[in-house]
Parts: sequence; structure tokens; C-alpha cells
Amino acid sequence: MRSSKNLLTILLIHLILIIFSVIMIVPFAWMILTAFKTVTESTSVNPFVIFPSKWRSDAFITVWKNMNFLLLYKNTLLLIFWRVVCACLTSTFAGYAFARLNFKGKNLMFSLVLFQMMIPSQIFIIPQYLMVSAIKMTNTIFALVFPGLVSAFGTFLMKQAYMSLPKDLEEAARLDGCNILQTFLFIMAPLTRSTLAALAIFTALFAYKDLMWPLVINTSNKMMPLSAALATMQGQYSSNYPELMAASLIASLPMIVLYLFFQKQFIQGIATSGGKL
Amino acid sequence: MKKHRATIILFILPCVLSLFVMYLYPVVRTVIMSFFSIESVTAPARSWTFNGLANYISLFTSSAFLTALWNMVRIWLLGGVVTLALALLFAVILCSGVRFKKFFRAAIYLPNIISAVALATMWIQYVFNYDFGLLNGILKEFGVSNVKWLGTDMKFWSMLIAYIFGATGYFMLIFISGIERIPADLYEASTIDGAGKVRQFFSITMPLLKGITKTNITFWTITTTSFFLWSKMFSPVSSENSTLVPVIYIYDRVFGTASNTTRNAGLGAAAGVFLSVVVLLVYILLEKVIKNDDLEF
Repeated sequence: MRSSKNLLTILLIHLILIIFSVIMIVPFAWMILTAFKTVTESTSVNPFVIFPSKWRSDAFITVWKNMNFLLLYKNTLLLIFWRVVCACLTSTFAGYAFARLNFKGKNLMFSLVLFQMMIPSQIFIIPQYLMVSAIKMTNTIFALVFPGLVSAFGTFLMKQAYMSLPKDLEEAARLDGCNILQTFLFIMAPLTRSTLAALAIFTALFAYKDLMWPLVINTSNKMMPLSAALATMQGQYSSNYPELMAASLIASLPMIVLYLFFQKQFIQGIATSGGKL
Repeated sequence: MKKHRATIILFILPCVLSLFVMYLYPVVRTVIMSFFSIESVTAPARSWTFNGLANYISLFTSSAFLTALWNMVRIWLLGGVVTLALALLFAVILCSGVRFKKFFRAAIYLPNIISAVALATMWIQYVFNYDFGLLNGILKEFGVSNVKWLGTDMKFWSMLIAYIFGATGYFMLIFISGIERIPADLYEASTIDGAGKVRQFFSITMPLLKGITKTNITFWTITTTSFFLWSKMFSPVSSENSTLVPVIYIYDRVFGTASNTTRNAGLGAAAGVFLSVVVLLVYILLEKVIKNDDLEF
């Protein structure tokens, strides 16, 4: 009796999981399949006409030519690269200082960090736009990176990471004659590698997803990251599904590849960033 | 000691200075702007005219802003409840020792890896399409006539459904990390004491997930208040009431090129200030309602 009831529960649970997974995967699979279809095939009234009659790469070739993807990839990669570098550098130094060093105004400065974390970004965006345009830097990579030059969330995350390290390590290093910088660089910083990796992934994901700031600051087609270019394209050719989907796929590719290679780090990264708050 | 101070400055300055310039100054500036009448965002400060609370008054008498606010509240509350409930459900299921855990986890997280713009495109063009979309195709099999998913009445709900599907995986991962930190012996002990799975969920899992739940609510609040992408994708050309949210409202007024709204940077600033105050109040409330008991386990 008991085991049959258990079996039923297990079946039910798997059923729920399978249904949900299918809902997640089917649209994605459709995206891939549509990219290889002709326009007429893609708008076939029967949604269960699944495979293209012939696998065509026309849509990929057209959008690759029209959208200058190499440039978009370059912009996106630079945006992600600089945001990750800046966030990791400023956060790791400041996080250590907030966790382990004593100085005047520490609490006041840390409340600035907390404040930035809590306030929604739309209150910053107008003056940030004005600052970038005042120094005539709109439509540059610098403009894209700008709000990510510092990360309050990262600083907070790194502070938590340093606070969880044992104090004796540091004291031992100091006794052996290391100064603050040496202690930090050779003893403490290497121990926070996993949190730093988490921060890098978190920053990269958000930089990749960001749409509002790129739309505001870089209006030139040549300086857009993938997200903004794709959003602009959706408005323009909203009826050529194969091309739309081919472009979507090409735009999603970098993150999919990264995810496949670093799946473990992705999942750990999100878990860490969530668990430490 | 002097050398010591130099090191500290080296550590802290890049972070604090950038926070000052890029975040604190903008807040002050936005608050000031919200009390002035400013037509174009780039207008020099000389041309601003002080108009007291007029921006705030027109904000609250503007039906567009109230609609935007109402939409945001519905996304936050309804979307939040559904997303977090689904995320928790799947986290619990995946942690209960089902087979192919990694596959299911990856599948549910999948929407987060695809470019969000691509994901929205896919929902709009395929799932919700009137003539040949997936949903209407399935409904037809059951003899239900086509539904206008992207019509004015349904658009908000369609957007919310698509958004929930995309967001669940992320929150699920955070819940999973919380559940995995609960020691297994707690469950073993309670099994010996005769507690069933349901009882275990309410007596062990839920109480020990308090902190993680709070984190998730905070993250959800942050993402909802900065809700922009999905709304922009569901109404790409000009903003529609059904998908209007505060950030879109601000964007249109400050940077907008859409012809159906007049530019008014002061009004946009006022909307930003109001939103920030609301968000801060939500955090304070959260802090009061969900106490971090710092459970040691």
C-alpha cells in the first residue's frame, strides 16, 4: 500500500518536472528550427509542422550581413569584460578594507554602499546620462561600461567573504612581516576566489541583459551591444521570423557557450550571490 | 602610521569615490531636478524654473503614471507570489532526490541563458501569435477558438506569464542553495520521529529558508522596480497602457522619442524619486516582517 502511494507521488513529481521542462525547451527548440525555415513555412498555421522542409542557412547569412554581428559581439564582449574587471577590482579592495581595516568614516562610507544597493537604478540614470554626455562620451564603450565602474553589490559581497575568513591567518602573515598590501594580495585575496568568480558571473549576466542604459546612452547602431541591437531589430522587421530567430540565436550564442563551459560556476555563482545577502 | 593611511586610501578610494560621483551625486541631482520644470534633459541648469511640488502633483493626477504604478504593483505582488512559489516548489522537488536533477535544473534555468531580448521575441512571435502561435494551436486541439493574447485586454497577462517563466529558474537556484545547506540529519531525525514529507516541508524547510526567502523577495523587488525590458519588447513602438511600468514612463518622458508623450525631465525625475522612496519603504517593511533570527545550522 505504502509503496504504491510512493510510486504515485514519484510519478506525479516527474510528470510536473517533465511538463515544465518541455514548456521551457519547446519555444527554444522552435527558435532554432524557425531560423532554418522559409518565411512561409515559419508562418504555417499548423504549429505542429515542426521541421523545416529543407535546412536553409539563408536567414543566418542575411542577418549576419545586415546586422554587423562581429561588431556587436565586440561591443558586448568589451562591455562585459570592463564591467567585470572594474567590479571585481574595486569590490575586492574595498570589501577587504570594510571587512578588516579600521579607519575614520568607515560606517558612513559603508552606508553609502548599502544605500546604492537598495535604491532602484532609475533615480541615477538621468544625471549619469548628463555626466556622460557632458564629457562628450556618448556612443563609446566607456559610456556602456560607465554605471558598472563600481559595484556596490560586489563590495558588499566581498566584504561578507572577507569577514568569513579566520583572523589568525592575517595575524600570522603580519607577524611574518607582510604589510597590509602583501597580506591582502598573497594571503587573503586568493582565499576569496570562489566569491570573486561568483561576482564576475553575476556582473557578466547583468551586463549582458542590460537594455535600458545601452538604449539611452549609445544610440548609434555601431556602438550598441547585442541586447539593444536585437531590440531595435525586433521593431524593424517584425514579420520575417526566420531572420528574427536567426538573429536571436546568434545573439544568444556567447552566453550559451559560456554556460556550457562554466555550468558549475554559474550555478555556484548565483547561489553564492543569493546566499550572502 | 602615515604609510598605513596611504594603503587604506588606496584600498577604499576607487570604490567610495566612484560611488560618490556616480551614485550619490546623481541622487541629489535627481531630487533637485524633481522640484524644477525642465523640458529637455540636456537643458542647462540656468533654464530650469522652480515649480515646487508641481511635478509631484501632476504625477499623481496623471492617469498614465497611476496605470504604470498599478501595473508594477500587480507584477510585484501576483508575479512575485507565483514566481517564488514555483521556484520553491521546483527547488524542493529537485532536492528531494529525483533522477536527472541536473537536466531538470538546467532546463528550468534555460531561459536565463538565452538573451532576454531573444526570449521575449520568441514569446511574442511564436507562443502568443494569433494565427499560428503555440498557445492558440494547443487551444484549437481542445476546440477553443483563438485568443488574442496580444490584444489590449490580455497583453498584460501574457507579458506577466512570459516573465514568470523566464524568472523562475533564477530564484529556484537560490532556493536550492538554501535547501542544500540544511543538514540532512534534521530530515533523518524527523523521519524517525514519523514526520511525512509535507510535515517536514512546513516544520524544517520553510523555517530554515526564512533568510533565503527574504533575499529572494529583495531580489524580486529590485527586478520589478527596474522592470523595463519586457515592457519595451511587448510594446516596442509606443508605450501602451497595458504594459506601461514606471521605468518606461520615466524613459519616455526623459529620453523618449515616441510622439505620444511630451518630454518633461523634471516629471521623470519626480517619478524616479517617488519610486525610490516606495522601494525603501518596502525594504524597511520587509526587515520588520521577516526577522532574521540568524538560525545556526
